[in-house]
Amino acid sequence: MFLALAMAIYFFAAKKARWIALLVLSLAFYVGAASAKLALAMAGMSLWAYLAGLAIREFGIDEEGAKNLPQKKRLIATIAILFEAGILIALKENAFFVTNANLLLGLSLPFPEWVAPLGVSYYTLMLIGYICDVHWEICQAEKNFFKFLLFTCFFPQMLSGPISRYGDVKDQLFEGNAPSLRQISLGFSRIAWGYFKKVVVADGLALVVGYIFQDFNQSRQLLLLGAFCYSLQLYADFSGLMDIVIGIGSLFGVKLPENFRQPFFSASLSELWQRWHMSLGVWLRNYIFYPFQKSKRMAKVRALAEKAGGRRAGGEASKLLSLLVLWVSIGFWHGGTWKYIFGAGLFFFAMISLGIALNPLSKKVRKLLRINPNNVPFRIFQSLRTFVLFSISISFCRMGSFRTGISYWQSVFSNIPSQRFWSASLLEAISLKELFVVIAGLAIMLLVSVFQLNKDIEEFFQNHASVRWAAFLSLAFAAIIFGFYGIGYNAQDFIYGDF
Amino acid sequence: MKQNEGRREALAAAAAAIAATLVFLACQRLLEPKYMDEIYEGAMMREYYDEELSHDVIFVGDCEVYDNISPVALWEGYGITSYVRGGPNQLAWQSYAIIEDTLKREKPKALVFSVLALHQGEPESEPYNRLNLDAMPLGTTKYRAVKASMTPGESVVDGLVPLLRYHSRWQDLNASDFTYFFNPDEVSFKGYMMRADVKPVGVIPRARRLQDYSLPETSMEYLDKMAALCKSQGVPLILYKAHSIYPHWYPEWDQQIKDWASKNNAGYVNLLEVPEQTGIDLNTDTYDAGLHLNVYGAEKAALFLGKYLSENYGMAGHRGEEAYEAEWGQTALEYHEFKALQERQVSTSGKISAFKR
Repeated sequence: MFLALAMAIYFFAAKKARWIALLVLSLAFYVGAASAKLALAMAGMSLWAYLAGLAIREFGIDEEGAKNLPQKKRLIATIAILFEAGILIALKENAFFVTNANLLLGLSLPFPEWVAPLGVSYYTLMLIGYICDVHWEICQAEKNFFKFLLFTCFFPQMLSGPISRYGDVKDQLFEGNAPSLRQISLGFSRIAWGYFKKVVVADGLALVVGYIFQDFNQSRQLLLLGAFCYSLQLYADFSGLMDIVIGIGSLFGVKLPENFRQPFFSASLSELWQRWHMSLGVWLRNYIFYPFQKSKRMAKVRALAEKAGGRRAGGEASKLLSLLVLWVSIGFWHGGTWKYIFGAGLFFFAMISLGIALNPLSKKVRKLLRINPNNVPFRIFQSLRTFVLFSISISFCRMGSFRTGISYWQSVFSNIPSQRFWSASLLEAISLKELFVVIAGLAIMLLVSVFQLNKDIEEFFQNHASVRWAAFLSLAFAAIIFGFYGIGYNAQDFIYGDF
Repeated sequence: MKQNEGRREALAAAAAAIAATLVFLACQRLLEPKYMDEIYEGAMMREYYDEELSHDVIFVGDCEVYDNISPVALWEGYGITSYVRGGPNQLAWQSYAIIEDTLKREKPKALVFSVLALHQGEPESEPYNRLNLDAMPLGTTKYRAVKASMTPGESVVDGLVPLLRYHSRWQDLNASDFTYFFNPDEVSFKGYMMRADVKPVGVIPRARRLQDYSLPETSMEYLDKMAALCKSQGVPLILYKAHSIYPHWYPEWDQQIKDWASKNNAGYVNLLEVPEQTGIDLNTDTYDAGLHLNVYGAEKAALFLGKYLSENYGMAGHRGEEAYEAEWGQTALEYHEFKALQERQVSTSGKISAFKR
């Protein structure tokens, strides 16, 4: 209903006033989804970044007109970034600091009962990115606060990303272009695809995962299946959400950045993370990894390592240290508990570091066995290996705590001979027919992913109106009929909405 | 070139819109329960919309109307045409919606509302809500009824769009869903569900003491709304209590209804108070030990109501009118055939196997 109303208002508004309509709609959406108070908090954080942008531009000019005094600019940018990041950490991750301070120092600090504004994890990163981009002169500071506020709270993307850069979306947001009928149908097709992935595949897998993970006293094969199913669920859920968000964005003439590119076809974990939650990866690379690697302190570390082990060691040391910071940040961003820091961060760091260390050896083995790294069976083997490692790691995020994750994997590796692989009681959670639907949904996702390896599906749909509409209708009705929603099903929230 | 492309896109969009509508309607029809193999009450509510002739009386309420009043007996005895728009566990706000929906379609000479449901002030069961409201066409009346009837976990959209409610029935589709896709069988006789078996009253359960005998405010508010609506349309509202001994009808409730009826100038007939006049005997006229009347009891109740309506509301009926005679004559013929069939089943096997008309 909201979307239909928003589209009607946007289309009937004058071109110049469309961005204002979008702003009002976005604020109304935010107030409806959260509260007026939290909307004010969000606007306050946006105002801070906006003023910082102006200050970086204005205060960086001295009396003689010489532009951009570096120290002043850096000081303003640093204060602004610390403020935004500080709020994010205080609101979202305070439990981590309180728990660990109590544990390590024997304190009994109370947990603050602060309510984090909806989408704070996403829009804070966009605001920090903006401050950096203005500071690095990648983009101009926005002069109109309300336009900047729209960038912060554009309703399709503000709750779960993708994390966009101001310079990439500003023109589309403010120009007020009405999409063509073709773009609208493409947008709806994308939304239908997203819903299909969410309500048919992800929510169906959620029943399987929920059943398997509720009791670790099962066969190891079934427990492992739970971990693999969770990875697939997470992918269908999050990429489905992104399809919906990007589809809605396109209905308003805004092309939001893609967040996934067939991640499970990756040959390694580091490649997977370049194809999974790409906008977060790009953000961390641009605003944490590279700045950290180029910092003066890092140069000192590199120099020390070079002295001790030669030039190569210097490079490797600085890379590993930067990677550690990157992965701890990713884990921490997902949630201030050890299950996330380990499951979405440190495990990947360990595996990727090991991969770097073993790379020369693996090259030798490949040469010895005469394996062509580009042949299909080997690529499939690499993808499966990556998927298994990813599943091991990300399974921690599904558990109640890090300790539960450990006991889950202990159960996997302990032998329970009395348990058979197939548990008939799994059918209490999902019927055979429903299981078949989920598997068929996964098969369709796989086929689409394979198609996308060589062809741009959006371009294909652009040129084939009948196929586009047929796909839209098929997906929409498949989602409506076969979706795991409504009475009799426990509706699942989008997983990444919690981060 | 660009213009051609635009035209092509517009054509494709129009074709997709038509296809979407057709597929939506087809899927919805296929997946909705047809109620042809069991729970026939679900099919009964829809049948009213196939009626072509108007009715003198419309009965609304729960099983105290659709099990306990025979419109055919009312026709045969007094020439009065009626329809029972009752549903299982129909709540006061649902009855109100059904009255509103009825008055949009016809203007009967009287509306009879069964008061037993007034003791329920909260929605209780999602499946019962569906049985009562699914057949009603989409509109503001249905929207308000669905909203008022929602139990925790229900959503308005599910109540308004059957496809969203029943989508998961794709797993349970059977031959009946295809057989009755276009033309479902009629299950009732003008909204009446016939039962010709007998189970006399045995032990009458003792009525539970209540802490508070006031009828819930919500129900009484809807009763007020029914009165106001009927008054605005110039249709008399008559309150009715069936001859059933369970659930217990407390004297305190009865007094409240009497007071309300006299204050609002509405009629009130409590069949429990006039067994000599109705002739209902719960040793022979009930099929489940006093909860519901069988066809013999329902006919006696109808005849008593016919006398009451003709004497108090001057209803003359439609005897001699060709169209009514034709339609009601045919219904009565089928009614008696079906009654005879059920009686044969009872006499040969001791139980009924044909519940659907």
